[in-house]
Amino acid sequence: MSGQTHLLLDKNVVRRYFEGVSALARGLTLTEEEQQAILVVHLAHRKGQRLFLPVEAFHLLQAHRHQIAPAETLMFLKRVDVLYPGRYFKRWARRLREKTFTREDAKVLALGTFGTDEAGQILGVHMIVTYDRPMRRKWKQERGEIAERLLEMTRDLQAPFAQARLPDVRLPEDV
Amino acid sequence: MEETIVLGEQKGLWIEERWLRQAQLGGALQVVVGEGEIRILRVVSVSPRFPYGVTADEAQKVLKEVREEVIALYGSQAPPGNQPYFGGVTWQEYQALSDEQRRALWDRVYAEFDTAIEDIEEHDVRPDALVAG
Repeated sequence: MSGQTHLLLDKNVVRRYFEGVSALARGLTLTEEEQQAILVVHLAHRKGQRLFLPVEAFHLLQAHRHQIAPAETLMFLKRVDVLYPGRYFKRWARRLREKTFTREDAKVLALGTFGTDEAGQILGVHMIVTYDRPMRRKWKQERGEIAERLLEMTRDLQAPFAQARLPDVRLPEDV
Repeated sequence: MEETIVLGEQKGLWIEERWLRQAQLGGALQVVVGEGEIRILRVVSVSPRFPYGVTADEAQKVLKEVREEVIALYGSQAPPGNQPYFGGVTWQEYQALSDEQRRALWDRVYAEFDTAIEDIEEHDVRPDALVAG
């Protein structure tokens, strides 16, 4: 398990994946973003990297699985696991809200640091893959300050939380 | 060689082909509107960048395989466009939406599953969990 890269896909990348695969099934031309979303999912899986989606997105796909493009859903969920909020997720999400991130952005970013898999064997991901350019820009600009805030919060916590790190936030083409 | 030409104003501007040829602008043009000027420029083609630094050929190969996989799952034929696709609309209806409308539709459906931060249940993490970073 060591050395394996973990990526969290935000819902915009999930949307592009579904639109792209649906277009492929019908022989249509794909947009650049659709191509990139498909390539991230399929290439990461081939390279042995672990892909995750937020639990809300998973519930959405599960609840609508008979209605939402069934083949596309099957292909996607075969390659992607669910990232659950782990302990201290809420505290960190609140801190990110104080930095004026939207609630949705704060949740995705907090999941990137305090998310875990079903077995509780991982903490955080290396990268959040998104098309949310404003969120990415704000993250890049304020990352130093946010890292200090994280250190303040985690320095007295027990393992593994004391080692919690910030993820990179990247566009699919930068993965 | 630089020449100044005066264009006749009608409902739009008409530029004779010879001027375009002389400027060697190529087939695709970009029009840049600025204060007191409009510039017509050659489109500089930028090759798309792909994840993991794969080439365009490698990307097309992967996309072809993905297409084969999805077509096989649909029984070797394109899925019908008149069945529910997402958020209560068919594929045909979805295709007719603008990107903004599609995003709004996803946001609306996603919101049904969105939980307030305080109401989220936190999962246990093992003390020996692998920390990313």
